[in-house]
Amino acid sequence: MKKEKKNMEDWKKDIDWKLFELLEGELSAEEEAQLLAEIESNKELQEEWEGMQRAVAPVPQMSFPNKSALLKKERKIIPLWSFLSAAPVKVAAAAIIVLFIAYPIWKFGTPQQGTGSLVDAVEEPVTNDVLPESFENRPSLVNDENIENTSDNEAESIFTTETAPTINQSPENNNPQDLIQVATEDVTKERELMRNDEESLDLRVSPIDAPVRFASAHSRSEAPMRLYKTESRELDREAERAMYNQFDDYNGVRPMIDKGLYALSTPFRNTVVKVNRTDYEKPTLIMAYVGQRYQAMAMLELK
Amino acid sequence: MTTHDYNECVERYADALYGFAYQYLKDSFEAENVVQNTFEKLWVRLADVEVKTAKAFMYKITYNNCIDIIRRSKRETQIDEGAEMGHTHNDQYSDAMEIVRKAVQLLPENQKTVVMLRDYEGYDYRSISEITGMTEGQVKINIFRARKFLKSYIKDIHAVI
Repeated sequence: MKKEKKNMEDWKKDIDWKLFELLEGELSAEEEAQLLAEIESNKELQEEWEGMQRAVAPVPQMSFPNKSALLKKERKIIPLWSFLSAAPVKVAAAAIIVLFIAYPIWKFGTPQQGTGSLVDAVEEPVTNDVLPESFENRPSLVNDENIENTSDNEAESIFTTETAPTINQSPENNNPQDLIQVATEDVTKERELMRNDEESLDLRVSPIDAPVRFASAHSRSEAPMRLYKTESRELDREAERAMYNQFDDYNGVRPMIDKGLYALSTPFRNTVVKVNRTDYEKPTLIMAYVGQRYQAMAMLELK
Repeated sequence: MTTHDYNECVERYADALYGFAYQYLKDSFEAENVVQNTFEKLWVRLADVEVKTAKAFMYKITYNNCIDIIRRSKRETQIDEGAEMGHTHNDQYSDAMEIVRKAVQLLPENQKTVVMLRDYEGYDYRSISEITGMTEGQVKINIFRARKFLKSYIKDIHAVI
């Protein structure tokens, strides 16, 4: 740096340096005026100044021969907000939102007051109890005329059995993980039924003809979901009692029910199982069991 | 920088860079390659280069490429400090600008570089310093030496003519 500074100072002593600085615009206004006056008065210095002014490299007028090859295609970037503001997208977005809101309402209806205890019972934690093997020998009581523990009309009033289908079993399918798949219902088929207005219950049931698939460790069964009607809150409680008390001798019934519809297929083989959907806050299936000794219903929350 | 900015650079600086490289290399083919290489590097580093520094960036790449080519081909002009005043000129020059162009070609590389950047593009000392890696003092002295040589060369040529 010192050497460089020394050189600079040496060059400054040179008249060429002064002319150079004048050319480069490095002089102050006062220095510039003084030097120009000196050049004006000195012909030799004037020639030197003209020579310095010519010592400027002329700009070459050249054209790059293949400029277009250097150019790049510009990609249009459409901002997300712009995309979303497009009319078709707005419509699609609105449709999706409407579907998200409307579908649960359509599917499960207006939330209703449930029967309370049954729903609570269903909401208990699901256990992983093993299905009892002895259930397969349970007799079919669908057509049994000697139904015990039920008055003449009660059984009929609890469950309408006239069109109840028998479970179609397919023993070759043994995947217990194939749980309930409720088919998409046709909303036009849904209808709300309330029996006897003055005795109406909070429970509403809707007929769904679409089949529901359920499976157990031993079989996979399929049955159409059918309507059944509950008689009264008392009958519901009766059914509840039947399920939780009288079914105690069915070892493992309650865990089975808790686990879902699939658990019912094996123990209730050769019986009528009616599956209905109710309009509770959560998607719930009502299963009705009409056996030789017991009638029961269970509401199962679909997971 | 965006693609649009890049294309703007091509439109605005490709010719100047080509002229700059050509003055160095005196080979249109190599000058073209240098410019292409420069813009390739600019494209690769598009995200890193700002618009306001793009020109200096490109000149720096062009300069370095030219220096590399010259060193590789050993075509560097062999003019040293002592030869400045001892130049000969047997060619006949009819055009003053041609004389200066010829004189520029006779300059040492460092002087040629700074004087071309100064006169072609009007860069200040600081920008030239950034492009060439010289200090600003070195830039100024090299420009001065170049001008002094050009002035002397032109004066001598005119004396012959």
